[in-house]
Amino acid sequence: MSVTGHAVNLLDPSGIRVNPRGEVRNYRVYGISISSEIPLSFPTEPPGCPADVTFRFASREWFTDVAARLSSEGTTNGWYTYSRMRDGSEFLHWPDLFEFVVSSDGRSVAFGLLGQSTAESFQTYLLGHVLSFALVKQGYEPLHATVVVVDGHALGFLGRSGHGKSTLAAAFLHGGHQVLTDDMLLIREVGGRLCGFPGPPRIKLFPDIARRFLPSMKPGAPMNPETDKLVVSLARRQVHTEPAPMQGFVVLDEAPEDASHVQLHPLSRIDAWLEFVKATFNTRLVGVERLQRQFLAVEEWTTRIPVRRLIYPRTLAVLESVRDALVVDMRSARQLVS
Amino acid sequence: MTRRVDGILVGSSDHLALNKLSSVDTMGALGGVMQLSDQSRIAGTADQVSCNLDGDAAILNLKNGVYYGLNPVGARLWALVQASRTFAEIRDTLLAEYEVDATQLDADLRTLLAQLVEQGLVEIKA
Repeated sequence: MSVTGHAVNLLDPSGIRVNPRGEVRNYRVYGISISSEIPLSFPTEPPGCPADVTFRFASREWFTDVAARLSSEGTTNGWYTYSRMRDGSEFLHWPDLFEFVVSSDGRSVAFGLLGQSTAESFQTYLLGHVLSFALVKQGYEPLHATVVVVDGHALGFLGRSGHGKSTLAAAFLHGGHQVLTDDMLLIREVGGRLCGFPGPPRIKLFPDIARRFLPSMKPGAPMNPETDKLVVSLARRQVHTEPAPMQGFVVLDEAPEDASHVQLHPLSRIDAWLEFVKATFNTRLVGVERLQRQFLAVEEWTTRIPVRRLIYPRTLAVLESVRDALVVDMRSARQLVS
Repeated sequence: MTRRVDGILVGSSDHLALNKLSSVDTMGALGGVMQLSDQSRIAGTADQVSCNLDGDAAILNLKNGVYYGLNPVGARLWALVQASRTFAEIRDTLLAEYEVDATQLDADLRTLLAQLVEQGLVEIKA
């Protein structure tokens, strides 16, 4: 079965579309409530308290006016442009794909659609990169991490993009465990414990990884035109939908050439601190208040959540052994504590 | 046994690269620039936050978003800096607490303090 996606014009009547009457739907992700004028690919929630963040559609003309008022040309990061507006809003622009304005208080995100884009790709960036601006502005500290859940306890994977976090998570799915979140993690205190909160029910994988570990899943859609990575929607049983206590983190690094078996090395607090700082999800908002808040958050995480370096031979064939070793390790650690 | 007092420079939140500045590398560039007497009072600037991490120290410069790490000896120095001690008090305290050659310590201390001043983490009052 080939794992491919197809582009769907978000305004195509045959595909997902923005509701022309401006109706909103309510969702919960990362532990925050979202009110959205565009349907998202996970279950809705009944309306309740005012949303933490609203997603509202804005026309091309509105965005053209926004761009004209920008105080500078903006900075380009690879393939998107970022600009800070005079009122403290943030303008994010992916050429020919989509654009966003995050309000200065982080409670509103205006989105615009520029051309052919899959709904999955749009949501990936909306619920990751763009939402991170809103979350930081509201005082949260998102981390770049992928998290799996074993027996109700969360294990986070840290490491640079391309170092195998999602691939390892796919191996956990293959073993019957669940994913809490892929790519962005929010940690908050619940009942005296630091817990990870569920992200969107999807995982980003290269086609060969998806074929190997999720052979029965629906084909994913391309993440963006520049990569072969696919956005694969997860089934209900594959997703942990409640906050899960963070039992630990492992850092995935490039393995030494002579790595022959799975190794776990505890990190000192300062090395763990460094890894959390390196895993900062949003590095654009660097005001004094945010930096102080992040500093304190990282200090708390290093105090309360163990971090270890994971080394293993970098071949797909060993990933299930890596998974099994981590599962045994998690279960042993909990037995020692109890 | 001689111990070196050196620091680890961590990149900013935008550029998270890890660089280590050895006291040897910086001595030539910074030696002689900073005026430091025994009575000079050393203090942390207002634009930084720090924490102790099991003996190491992490510091964040709030003005430029650059993070720093100090090993246990550097962290001990940092604790003395936070208490606004004079150069002589800091030097003599470290001399008493560590097995280190006095001349080497003096040189290492001047170098690390110069780095900390250059990074905007420490100020020196005559």
